[in-house]
Amino acid sequence: MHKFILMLFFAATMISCGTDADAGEFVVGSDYLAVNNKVILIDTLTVDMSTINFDSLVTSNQSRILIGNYEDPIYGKIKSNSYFQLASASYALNNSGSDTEVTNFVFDSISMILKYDNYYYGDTTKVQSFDIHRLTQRVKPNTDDNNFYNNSTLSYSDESLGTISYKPRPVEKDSINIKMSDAFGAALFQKLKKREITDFDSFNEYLKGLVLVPSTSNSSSVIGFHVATSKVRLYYSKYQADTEEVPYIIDFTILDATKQFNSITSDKTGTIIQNLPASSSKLSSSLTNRQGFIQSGAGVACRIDFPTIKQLKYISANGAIVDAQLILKPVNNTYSEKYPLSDSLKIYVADNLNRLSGSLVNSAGTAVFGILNKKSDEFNENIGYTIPIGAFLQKEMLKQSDSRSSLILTLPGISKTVNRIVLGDQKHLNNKIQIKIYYISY
Amino acid sequence: MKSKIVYLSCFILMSLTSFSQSISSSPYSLYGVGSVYDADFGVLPSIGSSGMALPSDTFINNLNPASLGYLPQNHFMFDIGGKAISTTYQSSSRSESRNNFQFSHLAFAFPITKNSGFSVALRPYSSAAFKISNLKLPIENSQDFYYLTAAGSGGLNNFDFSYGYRFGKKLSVGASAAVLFGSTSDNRSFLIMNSITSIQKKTTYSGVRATLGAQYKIDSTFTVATTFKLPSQINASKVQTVQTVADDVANTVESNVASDTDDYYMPLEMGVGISKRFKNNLNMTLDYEKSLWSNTNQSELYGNFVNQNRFALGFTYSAKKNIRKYWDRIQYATGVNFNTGYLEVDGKRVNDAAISFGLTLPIENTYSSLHISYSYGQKGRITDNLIKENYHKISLNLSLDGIWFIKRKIE
Repeated sequence: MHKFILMLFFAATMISCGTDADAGEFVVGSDYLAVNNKVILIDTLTVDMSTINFDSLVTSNQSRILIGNYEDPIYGKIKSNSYFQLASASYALNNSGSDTEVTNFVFDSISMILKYDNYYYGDTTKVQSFDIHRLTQRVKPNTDDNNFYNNSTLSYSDESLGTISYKPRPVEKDSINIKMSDAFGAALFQKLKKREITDFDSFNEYLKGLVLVPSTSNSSSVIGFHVATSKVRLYYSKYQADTEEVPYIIDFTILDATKQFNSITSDKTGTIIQNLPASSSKLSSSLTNRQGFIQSGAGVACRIDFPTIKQLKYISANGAIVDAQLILKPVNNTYSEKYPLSDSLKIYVADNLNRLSGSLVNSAGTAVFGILNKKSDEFNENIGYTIPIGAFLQKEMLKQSDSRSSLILTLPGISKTVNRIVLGDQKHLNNKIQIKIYYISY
Repeated sequence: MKSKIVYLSCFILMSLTSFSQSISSSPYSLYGVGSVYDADFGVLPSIGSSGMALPSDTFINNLNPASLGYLPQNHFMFDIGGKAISTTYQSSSRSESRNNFQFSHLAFAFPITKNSGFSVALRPYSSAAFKISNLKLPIENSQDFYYLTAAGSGGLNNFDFSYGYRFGKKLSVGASAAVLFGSTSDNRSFLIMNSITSIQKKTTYSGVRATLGAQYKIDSTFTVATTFKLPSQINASKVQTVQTVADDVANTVESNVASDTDDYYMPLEMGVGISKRFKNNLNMTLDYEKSLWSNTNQSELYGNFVNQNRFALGFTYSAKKNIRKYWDRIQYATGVNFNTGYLEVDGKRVNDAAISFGLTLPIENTYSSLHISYSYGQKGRITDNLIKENYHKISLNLSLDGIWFIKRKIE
């Protein structure tokens, strides 16, 4: 009997491991769960906004001929000239080797064909005019590096080699065609025919480059054209008494994209940001009607600082920022169909002197952007750019040194567009910055 | 005897292995150091866990060390138990049943002199097993929510050494030292917006607690008793790992960082009990115990603790007409137990009430017996934030008695 009962107990202890699965659906005292680990939203962290000015943006090798000018109601006048150097695959006329044939070639015409790249900004219902001028200096950078900047210029002759006034149709149409001066074309043709131009060097010596200069009087848009497919095309033909003329062409294209740049100038006189400080400094939003400004091309960017981020360390003995969002709102009535909002913001991390150290990244090291929430409502309250800044703030909070990083907001394509935006700061009346920091204590 | 020792050591091993598995999963295990087990020896589960005034003459009475003064001389007592529990958890919206079997206790006792005795007992003290799946909780200071998934395991064990001494025929006193030790694991993961934070915490506890007890026989049928469990501090230290997963990348915030955490405090508990025999075959036991949890200033980490009152009443009946007839030697028992609970959850106490019935089956012609008890109880109640647990519990306690120091003639 003893043994039997002992065995029974053995069995009981053995099966004591087995138990029904607990689905975990019964919980008592959910308040108590927050005692050990509080999850809180912090939305009161101070966010400082300011406007900075990059003194130079690299605009060469951006694959866009940006041309036009317009007067912006907020940012003043902006204008883009486009410089480039031309080259051709071959500098020989289409002959089979006999000189007699060459003598029969005659010049027909020359024109510039610019292919739209679908970029436009401003009012495209108005006529845009620009002229083609010949450069009097080579397309060669003055700086040590091989870049041209938005403030680079080259000298050119006053004489216009061609002019166009047109209503831009950047989306509907494929290209525009500008008839160039016959005298210019004929002279170039003669050089080729006489074999005075036989290679790039001799060609470049003769034609250093061209610049497209918009007319300041009647343009109200800025248009982008493809670099690779735009060209100057020279038409010529073989003269034959009996039969029809056979047409030939020779194309001059921008073979070297580094020898093309846009010189973007802005005149902010009379605007709220006319006194932007040097590139290592900033203009606080408290001096600009509680607004921050971004204008691509001109180098105007918005800077965000978190002066009190380190104080979050003291919320609890141990805590971590697990997620955070910064929501920036464009100021009402500063954007329209003519001046549309960009879909995203490009964000850089910089030091106190606006020196960029790289893109803002998430914890995986992937660059993150501010994404526009387009869901519009009656008062445009939801329109804003949401930037995930959890990883950035956690790092900033724990940083040992006193230095703080700031965020520099730009629009994508800062070097090849003229888009702009106006953002409200944390104290803006209608379009306040919102910050949401999700914090857990452990 | 030899084979008995083999069995015994096997038992101890088995029990220790099953110790580490805390299997009673209860939503209330979230609090304190977990849900406290009742692991009473011998006949006690049948009589509503009353019996502070009973002597340790046929089983080891764990309620009062003073009872060891009545250990029969030359006897070695051994007690082991297990429980099968079926619990139905009920909230206002759903109910769920769970069954489990658990080890209850392992104890032995032996007399030292003709009026003193010693016992050693090992039993689980608490179980911190709980589980929470995807609980939606508000993020403080916002309209947003986060989701918590958590699992707790482990618990504390109680290893105690008791000594009882009897002065003359009437007064017996005793003391015991309980070593509380063990660890609880708490793994939580928080889904907060687009991130998952996991916090793995293992807390290790250790401490000692003393109990003093006395029994006084007023006459041969009436005994009064009292016990004092002294307040004690259970030292706690934790090892924690915190990890955040955002953008599919895990970032370790801290890894296996050891630190002190708030200690757990055991309260002063005072109990009084009586035992009265009527007509030589009906015995009544009545206990009252008050636990001063409020005075412990327990850290809010463990929950909100309030003073607890416990009432227990039990009756045993045995015919004892013919000692030679097996059925006449069976003892019948019944009892009720009510305690107000020491936890207050959302301002409401978690009380516990149970009723029990039991049989004591003698084994052969010794003092050994098998105690079978069934009890039904309810813990908590259904309100907004509480869960009611209805439990059916079958306890099997085996009290073995061996005559010691007398060599058996026949094995």
